[in-house]
Amino acid sequence: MSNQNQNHNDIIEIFKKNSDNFSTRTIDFLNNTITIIYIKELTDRQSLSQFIVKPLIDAEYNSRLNAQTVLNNIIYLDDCKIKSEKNEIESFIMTGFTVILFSDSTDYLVANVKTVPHRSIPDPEFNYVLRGPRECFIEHLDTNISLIRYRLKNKNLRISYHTVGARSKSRVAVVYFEDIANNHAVTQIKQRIDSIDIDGILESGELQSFLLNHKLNLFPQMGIVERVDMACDAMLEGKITIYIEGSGIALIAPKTFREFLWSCEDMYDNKYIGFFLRILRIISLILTSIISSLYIATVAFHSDLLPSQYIIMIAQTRSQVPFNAFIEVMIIEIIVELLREALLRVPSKYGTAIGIVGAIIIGDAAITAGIFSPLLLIVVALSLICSFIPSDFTLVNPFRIIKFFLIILTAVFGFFGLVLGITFVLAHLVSINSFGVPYFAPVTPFIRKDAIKSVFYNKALAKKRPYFLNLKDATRTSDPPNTD
Amino acid sequence: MNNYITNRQIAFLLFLTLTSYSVVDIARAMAASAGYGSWLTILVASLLFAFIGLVIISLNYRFKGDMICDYSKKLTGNFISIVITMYYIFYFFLIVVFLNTQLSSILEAEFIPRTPRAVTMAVSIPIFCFIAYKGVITVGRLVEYYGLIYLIIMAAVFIIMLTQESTMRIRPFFNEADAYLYFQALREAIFPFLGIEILLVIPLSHKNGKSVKTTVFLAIISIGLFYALVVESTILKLGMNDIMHYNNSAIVAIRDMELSFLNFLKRLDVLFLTVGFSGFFMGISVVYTAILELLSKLIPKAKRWLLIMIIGVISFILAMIVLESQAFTEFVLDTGRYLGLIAALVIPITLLILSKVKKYV
Amino acid sequence: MFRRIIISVLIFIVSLSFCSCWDSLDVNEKGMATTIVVGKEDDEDIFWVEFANLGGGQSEGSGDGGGEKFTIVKATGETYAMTRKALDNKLPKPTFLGTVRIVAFTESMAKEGVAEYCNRMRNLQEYRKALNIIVIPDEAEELFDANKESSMSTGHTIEATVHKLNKTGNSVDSSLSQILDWLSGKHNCFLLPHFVAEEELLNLDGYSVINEGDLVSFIPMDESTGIHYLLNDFVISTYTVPYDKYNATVEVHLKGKKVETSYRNNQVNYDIHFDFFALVKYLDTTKNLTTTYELEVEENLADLIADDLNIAINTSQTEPQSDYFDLCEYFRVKYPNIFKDMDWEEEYANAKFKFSLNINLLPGREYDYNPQVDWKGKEDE
Repeated sequence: MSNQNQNHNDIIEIFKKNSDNFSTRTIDFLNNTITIIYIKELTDRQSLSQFIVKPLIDAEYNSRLNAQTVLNNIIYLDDCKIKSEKNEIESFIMTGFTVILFSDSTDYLVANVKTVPHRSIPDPEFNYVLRGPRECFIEHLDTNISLIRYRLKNKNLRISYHTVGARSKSRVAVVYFEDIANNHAVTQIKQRIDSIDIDGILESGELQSFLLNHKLNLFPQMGIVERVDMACDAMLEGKITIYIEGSGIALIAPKTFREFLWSCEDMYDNKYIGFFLRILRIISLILTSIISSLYIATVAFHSDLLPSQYIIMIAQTRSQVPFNAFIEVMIIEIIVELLREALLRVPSKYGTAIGIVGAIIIGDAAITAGIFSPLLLIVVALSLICSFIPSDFTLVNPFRIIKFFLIILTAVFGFFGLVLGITFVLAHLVSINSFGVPYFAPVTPFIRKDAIKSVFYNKALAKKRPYFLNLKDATRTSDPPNTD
Repeated sequence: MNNYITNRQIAFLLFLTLTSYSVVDIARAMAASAGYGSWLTILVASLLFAFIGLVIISLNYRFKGDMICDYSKKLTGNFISIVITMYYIFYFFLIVVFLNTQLSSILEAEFIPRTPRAVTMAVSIPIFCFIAYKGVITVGRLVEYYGLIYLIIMAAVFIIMLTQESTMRIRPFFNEADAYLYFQALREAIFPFLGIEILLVIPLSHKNGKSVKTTVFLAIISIGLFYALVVESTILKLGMNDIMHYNNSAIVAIRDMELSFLNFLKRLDVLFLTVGFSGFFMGISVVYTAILELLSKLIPKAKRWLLIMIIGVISFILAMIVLESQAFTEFVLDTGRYLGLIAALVIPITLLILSKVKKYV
Repeated sequence: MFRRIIISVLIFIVSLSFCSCWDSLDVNEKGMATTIVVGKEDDEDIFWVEFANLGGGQSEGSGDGGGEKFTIVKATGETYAMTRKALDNKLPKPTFLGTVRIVAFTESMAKEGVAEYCNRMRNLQEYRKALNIIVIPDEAEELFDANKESSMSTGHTIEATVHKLNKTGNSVDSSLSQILDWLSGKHNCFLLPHFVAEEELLNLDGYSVINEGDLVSFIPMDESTGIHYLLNDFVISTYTVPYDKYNATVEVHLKGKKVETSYRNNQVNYDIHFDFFALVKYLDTTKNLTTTYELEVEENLADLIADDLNIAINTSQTEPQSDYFDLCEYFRVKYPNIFKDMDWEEEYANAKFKFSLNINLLPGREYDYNPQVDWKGKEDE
């Protein structure tokens, strides 16, 4: 026993020496000493004092307290456990728990009086909707989990906790419906999380890169979600959501290409409007990728594709422009990308001014000076507007890069180059899998019912979940009544 | 899920492989040989080839999960199986070189005349090889996507073409005195239907079911109907006399159309430039995939990426050698049809008979 | 090692591909030709080419004055190739033929033959096969001068005129693709619209008959109503029909026609049935158009239409004995084996025609020329 006391004393001494970072509180009893170790920045000190320290002090001086008696009779805490592994003490303290050590016992108590300052639940930044809930996730994991629990009150909802990062020890929660989600995908995700060997992961984007099937792939294979209702909807569809402590954005897996173009708003509103908006998003994605290339192909290669009056009109508007079509497009596209990035970073008070300046300089002055043709500005503006329409920016970002690739191919080979580039991109897209689900499902491989439902969707009409997700339970019927 | 080629994908695979190149010049070839009864020749040919397709698919269905190199080994032994595989590899190489040269030739003739043909091939062959490298499943998904778009748009274009001129230009539909011509012209109708032998490289799964036979049969009949539409509408647009002057008659006919009701989109070349060429690319990619799959079986230890690189380089070099050679084109169109018949009919039917004999022995 | 080779090869391909955009030429760097006139003078071929001016951002049809919108360039040479070379030597930009809407042959050139230049157009991939071909008098500059004040190019003006007339069936199809087909066939006789400059306007004044590729005769517009009925499936034309002492202006619509052909006693026979409906537009009198008068109008109208048809057929059968109505197609379809060995020109000249007309006369749609009711307070006549 004295050896064990020695071990605990060592630990206590280590933490006492580092008193800038750790706090200790010793309470003496007749037969033993109880030492409380905690990090004050992570501890609710009022609760600590009220529910742990005061009851201990109020206990009889000559009483023989051990971990079990303290847990059962003294402290007023719901989340408190008895542990005995010495090598875990430091880990518990570092993650914000309060550890209560007993001088005459190897057992110790781990009490949860954690408190982490965090912001209140905000409005969505990039999943904004006109009609629909606006609750978003925050950086505090427990709050996020409680938001989900509030919406999904089912015993089959599973939350599996993992820790990643040797130094950051970030908590990761994998949440899914056990009776719906695909087992293989769940196992795969959990295994990949557990196999992460890195010093720290602070954001879901970093976690995402460890979980992907194709790590060097340009296209996103997992979705990101900001709103609670979208995450819950994904889980009801049989998806798996992943949350990491310190990040207000959750991950969804698996995710197919078409789902990046859908928004929950389509389901909350009229189904015909939803159908129209989905078609609009597909068209906008295509336009944003190829419209600049179409301009180059028409102006520089295949001018006779348009009727002669239009060709002459375009030629007349370009007569003063000193650059060829390719250089013109590249300059404008780069300027647009620079403006887009600048507006993201700049404080909102300057943002409007920069937008106006950009529009005036690029738009009006450039045309007046004859540097760019008016038609090109319309084309690029249309491309820019279309890039904002798809609801998930993580899908649009790769297309911003692909757009340049297509522009270059078109500039060399015309329509032939454009079609070659599109074929290459499509070949790549259809070959990707997202956790076993073909990326382009249900378009290819074509599943008729899922394909129709994916465009014209309404929960009242869709009694079954998508077939291509290979779920345990494909029907959306209610659970049998709880007989407990 | 879906780690097999579905029946729908098989149908589109056949469609794109057969029609992607042939649609360009089938009208002239048929008009020259069968005249106004070309549609009949094509439909008869499609019926014959539909039965040939049935033979091939029955063979594949009997040996689910296997390709020709696998089940030929079971049926004929190692040596003959290797000879058969080598024959198919040689045959597909011939076709792929021919298609590459034709693609660059069409591009040069119709769309980008100053771009060197070597450059267009140098840029397109890596893309085809990339697609082939991705494997049969990816190719199947891609043709499913492209095939539908290609079929709808091309069919719409050629149907609209039918309304552009008077039907007197394609009549009489049948002349008894010329009946012998129509059947003589079947020889010309062989090449457009070659490509069904690609099925020999597509392993079937039990999930395909017996309906795959119906699918293949109907797909080839539909291809025949599509060809008939293309031929008749092209002859209608260009005229029976003038069509003989054009090497790429379908493209010329599409360029000839101006639909005033579409306003600024009235010129339809862009449809062939985009959709037509997409189909062409897929057709060539399928042949590359076939070569890769066969070679992978022949040399199992070789890395896939290395094999496809070698295939790409060899096909490019061979295409450069025969680039300007009219003799090569004539050889493929003349002798190639018989090589194709051996590949599509003689070998599969022999293997099918052998499989039935072995079953009962 | 292998990976380095692969990367090197890929870089080589990429560099080679992108070192020169061979076919890339911006549309404003091209000379936009809108009209081409091909003529012949003193054994020399002449090209007059109308180019759109691209300067100043003025668009065609903007109607703004100030500065020439189109430039005419003339070049001569012994052959077409040499003439084109001479033209290229004068131009700062390469000629773009995709915007050409009209190719006009002067009469002297048309008499020499249109086949050669049409074959040239077939071979020049830039030419769109939907462009129209016409014939004009030898004074080509007058054509361009007449269109000087217009905001449209000469080619577009003529094309728009032809298209407008085609909508009412009062013109003939003279697209390049159609002409190439005719020229390639055994029987190649067709009509080309003939345009003249008249009082600062471009006027379709008739049709030039082309036989075996050469201009053989001219049919004025007055005699071409029957041609329209025979060539087109839908025609709208207007007649002033006499009845009693008055005249009725009647708009006639050809709804359809049916051509039956037969071969009896080594003679080709045509039985063509026309379906018309006619609308009385207005009368030159205030008197009502009674039922009796209606019948008279119908009969007289039928006579007028029959006259037009007969004139059209007789002209084609007598001089120049050319089947420019493509009636041979009906015969070929019905008797393909006989047609193969026939000298069609000879047979056509001796062919018998029978026309039957079905005219449905409507006295008026909005206006009732024979009202059955009257105003009670009207004074007695």
